[in-house]
Amino acid sequence: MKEVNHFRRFLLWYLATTIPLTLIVVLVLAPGMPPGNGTVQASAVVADNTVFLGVASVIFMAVLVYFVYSLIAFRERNPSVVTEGPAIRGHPQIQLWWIVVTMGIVLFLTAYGTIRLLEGGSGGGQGPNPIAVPSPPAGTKPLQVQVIAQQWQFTYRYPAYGGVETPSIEIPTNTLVEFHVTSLDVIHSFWAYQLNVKADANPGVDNIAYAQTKGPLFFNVRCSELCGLWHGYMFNSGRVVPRAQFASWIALQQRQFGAARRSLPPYTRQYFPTPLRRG
Amino acid sequence: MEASAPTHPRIEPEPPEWQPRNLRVGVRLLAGAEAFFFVSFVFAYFYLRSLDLNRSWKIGHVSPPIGYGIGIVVALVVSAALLWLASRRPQTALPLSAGALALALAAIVLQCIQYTTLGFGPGNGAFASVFIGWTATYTLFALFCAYWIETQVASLWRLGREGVQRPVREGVPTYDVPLARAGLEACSFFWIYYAVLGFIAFVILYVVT
Amino acid sequence: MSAIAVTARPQTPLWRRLLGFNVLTGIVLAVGGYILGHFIGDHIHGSNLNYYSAQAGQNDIAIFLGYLLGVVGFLVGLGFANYPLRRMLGHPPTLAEKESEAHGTLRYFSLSTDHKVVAMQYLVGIGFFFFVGGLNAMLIRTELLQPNTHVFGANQYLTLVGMHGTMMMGMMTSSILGPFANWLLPLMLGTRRMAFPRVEALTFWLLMAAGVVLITTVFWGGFQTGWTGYQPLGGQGTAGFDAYIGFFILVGISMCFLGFNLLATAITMRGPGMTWSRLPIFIWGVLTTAILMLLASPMLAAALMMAAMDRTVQTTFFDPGYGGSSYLWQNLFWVFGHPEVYIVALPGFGIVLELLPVFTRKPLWGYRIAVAGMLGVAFLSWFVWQHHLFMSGINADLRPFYMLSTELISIPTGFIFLAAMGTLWRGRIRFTIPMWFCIAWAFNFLIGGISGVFLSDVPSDVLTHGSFFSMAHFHYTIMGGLVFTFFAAIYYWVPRMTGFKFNELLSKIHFWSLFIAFNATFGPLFAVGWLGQPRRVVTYPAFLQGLNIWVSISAYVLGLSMLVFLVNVVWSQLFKREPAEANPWHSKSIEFQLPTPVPVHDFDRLPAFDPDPYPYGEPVQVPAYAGGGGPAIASGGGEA
Repeated sequence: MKEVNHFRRFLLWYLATTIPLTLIVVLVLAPGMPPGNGTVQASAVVADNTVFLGVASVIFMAVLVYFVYSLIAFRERNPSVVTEGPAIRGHPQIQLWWIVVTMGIVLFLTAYGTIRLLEGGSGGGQGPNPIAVPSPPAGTKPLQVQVIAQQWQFTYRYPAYGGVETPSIEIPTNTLVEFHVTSLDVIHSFWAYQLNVKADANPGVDNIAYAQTKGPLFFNVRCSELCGLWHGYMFNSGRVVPRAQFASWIALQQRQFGAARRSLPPYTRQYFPTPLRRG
Repeated sequence: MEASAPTHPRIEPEPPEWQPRNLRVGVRLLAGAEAFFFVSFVFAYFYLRSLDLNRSWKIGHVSPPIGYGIGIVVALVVSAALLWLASRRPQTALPLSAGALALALAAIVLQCIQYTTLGFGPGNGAFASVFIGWTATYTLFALFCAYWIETQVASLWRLGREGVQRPVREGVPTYDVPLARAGLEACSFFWIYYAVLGFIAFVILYVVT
Repeated sequence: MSAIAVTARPQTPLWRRLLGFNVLTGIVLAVGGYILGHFIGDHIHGSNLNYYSAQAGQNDIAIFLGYLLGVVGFLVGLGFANYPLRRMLGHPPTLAEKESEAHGTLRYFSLSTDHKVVAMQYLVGIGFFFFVGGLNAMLIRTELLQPNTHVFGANQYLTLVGMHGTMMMGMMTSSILGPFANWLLPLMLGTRRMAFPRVEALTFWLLMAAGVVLITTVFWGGFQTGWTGYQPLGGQGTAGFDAYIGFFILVGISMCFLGFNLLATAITMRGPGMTWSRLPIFIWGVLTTAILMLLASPMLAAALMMAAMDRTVQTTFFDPGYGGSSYLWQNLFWVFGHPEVYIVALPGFGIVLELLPVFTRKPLWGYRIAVAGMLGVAFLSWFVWQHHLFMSGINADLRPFYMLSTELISIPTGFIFLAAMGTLWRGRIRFTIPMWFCIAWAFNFLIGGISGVFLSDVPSDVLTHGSFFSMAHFHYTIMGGLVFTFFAAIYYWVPRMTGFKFNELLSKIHFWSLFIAFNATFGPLFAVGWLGQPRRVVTYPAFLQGLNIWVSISAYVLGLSMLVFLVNVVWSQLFKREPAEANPWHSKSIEFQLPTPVPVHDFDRLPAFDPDPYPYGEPVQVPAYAGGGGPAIASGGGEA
């Protein structure tokens, strides 16, 4: 039988399948990925996912094509007889290169992730002392919104507007919004999907996350950490609206909930309500 | 083990040094597991102390009576020392290990008495919780250790009464002296180690506060 | 040293034998112990009642004491107290290599210290709870057929989710180490027993008690926390959460001692010639797992004891108003929980690398790098836990470090893939059922590993964290990694263990339906997560219903595939028994050179080992496992 150069064949198969697939993934599939382009953070995660999907398809196909090729090319053609294969026990060069390549991929991914994280916090909760603070659009000030999670609803307080507490959320366009997420009872997680913000709400903790809005947007808010019986129903929605509309909305909220505000505790970063458990 | 039939002629016995070595290896592995158990409490202590959420590390006047603490830790350390001596001196092993057992039980009893005179409850902040949780689990495991020491005392006592060369009876295995000695060594290793853990707990819970 | 008890027993009538120490007595004493504990607890509750439990008319102290004394009664009934009590009276220490309180079939229902019997007990016991957990999954998927609640209420749904996760993560952890490591480790090392045979039996019976304790949660209203049991939510729960705590403490003890026993055996009781560098790769997978089990589960036990004390004696470990912290639980749980994930994955690596040489007829490619990979995974798994808390606001400055350590784990995991891929190259690949499962492992774990990148990277984790994406990811790694290798091991070794082969056709149907249904179920869940469905919700946006129906139907097919397996087992192992060939795979491993059934004492002489654990591709047919004075392998049944 003629000696076949298996490695070259595998390489041809690999390139023939992977190049088109990766191009399709990166150019066609990835740009339409959720969660859309509603905020700077949402666009960032779409860009990150494009990079990762590209890397993933290259690696995935390498292993997959290798397996498919080996299983076909090296199958036992006459299973009724047990024939022994060659006694190869390793290959130092291949092992070394494997370590170098995987290490390179890992370091690239980590470095990329770290740089992207430090650019603007990427919408994740950063605890009480954020290190990755995005700079607000020129000429605007960041807007603080406190998200108070409790079983089983989210409410919001606007410290810049007298600490008014509202049952729904609206935020202005082209603004850096600073979410202060906290909880009154158990662990919740504030997931504003289209803003690409996710921050756990821990009792007694001020967890800060940033989102920089662009144009008008409707967004869903869900609790994404199991918080008890009605966790599945702990959702609401909000809107990103032009500044003028936001001003009239917040004025309405102040009129509507101003009276209720007087019986609320003063605005702080964390709350310790009287626990229920001890009499 | 029930009635043991004569060994099958074809079956070769396993090397006699395996089981004593198993005991030595096993007790060190257990020590590792035990360390990770109490690391959780050490972590809880320093973590909650550094957070001091709601300024509730200590609510009110929370300071455990140190007299009991010193009493407990002295009993533990002396007990461990006695057991170490017992493992080194086969001639006086029985009284030494019996003393170790008595002191171990004394430490447990002292801890229980201390709970009734603490002056604070488990709800008095994070320190009170860690204190009670740590000492309670420590005491629980100390009880298991006391059982272990008791088996050694009882073995030594029976060995002394009946001797190694007691008549072979149906269904009663004879003493394997190297194995028994390895058992005592393993027990004393663990008890010394456990006393050291107790001393660390004492330093953190009574002194550092 | 005591001899191995190879004794002829007088025939006693069945009813007399049922009165002895066995599982029946155990159950009776367990019920009695529970009632006694509950009775005592009812009289000491005083003012220590948990607010929420008091509302539900439940007393946590009584329930914990009931569980404690129930388990103690169960173990006493099985005969576990006999030896400790004898020791308390000073009777000499004895080995219990092959001790059993019963004989014949009954020994599978009683305390037995024969490692082969314990392995079979583990296999059947874990299999049972695996099916219970799987049934929960079917019910979960039924509820998710519609975007709103329709079959179960929110509480039943969350209880199902919690029981499924807890059962699988608690029980299936031991699914390879329990049956296969217990059966194989002594044989592969060249000894006849585990280092501590009574402890070996104890780990099994504790696990069974744990499973029953978890199921009792349904009597107390279930628990709403999922398998992670986050505090302070758990502290709010009714006594159903006590069952969760009781379950995981028992599982933690069982896991800790299982790892302890395996490690002690491997450190001490290796036969002549079995050096560390000659250990079969499966043993390396087992040992690295055992290290993690030994050290990680005590942390879980400690965290659970804190939770139990919060619920009974009113400590405040997790109550922020009184100085506790919700982060404390998250930290302690995940310091255990992340090694736990690799406890689940590592034995699978071992099995795949053990089986590939057999079916490619080649030695394992890169033995040392595979071992390094396993050790590396075990080591790094201690430094990654806070990636579960990327969004929680804890130590935000350390997130790049945890991102690095998490992604670094893919390097040693890559070693495993390298060894597998190197072994395939130029092999003579034989497509048997176990081999198919190994190939499926590679495919599934590859997807699981690559999807992990999206979770380990903080910026993209913002989107995927706590969503169905992460759920799909860990099902690909755990179910695709563990359950597939579990089945590979079953098809490979169980005919050897029982002496009966599986039905070939049913096995093939099982594999292909499982593989296709598995991917059809969990593949789309990546999309579901990306589209915004969080984990553990009973409701979801209406536009996701199409995908959810597809997933549910695939999940039913997956369930049916498991039924095919069950039918296969019952049919081929109980009813239509066909004796298996001694060595159907032409394996050169020692366990396939022993007579069928494997004698009680395993070896006549303790074997000495050939320099090479993987003599495939060499002319030598079967390595000579020679003992000091003649062949080690027993020539016949060997029963006296």
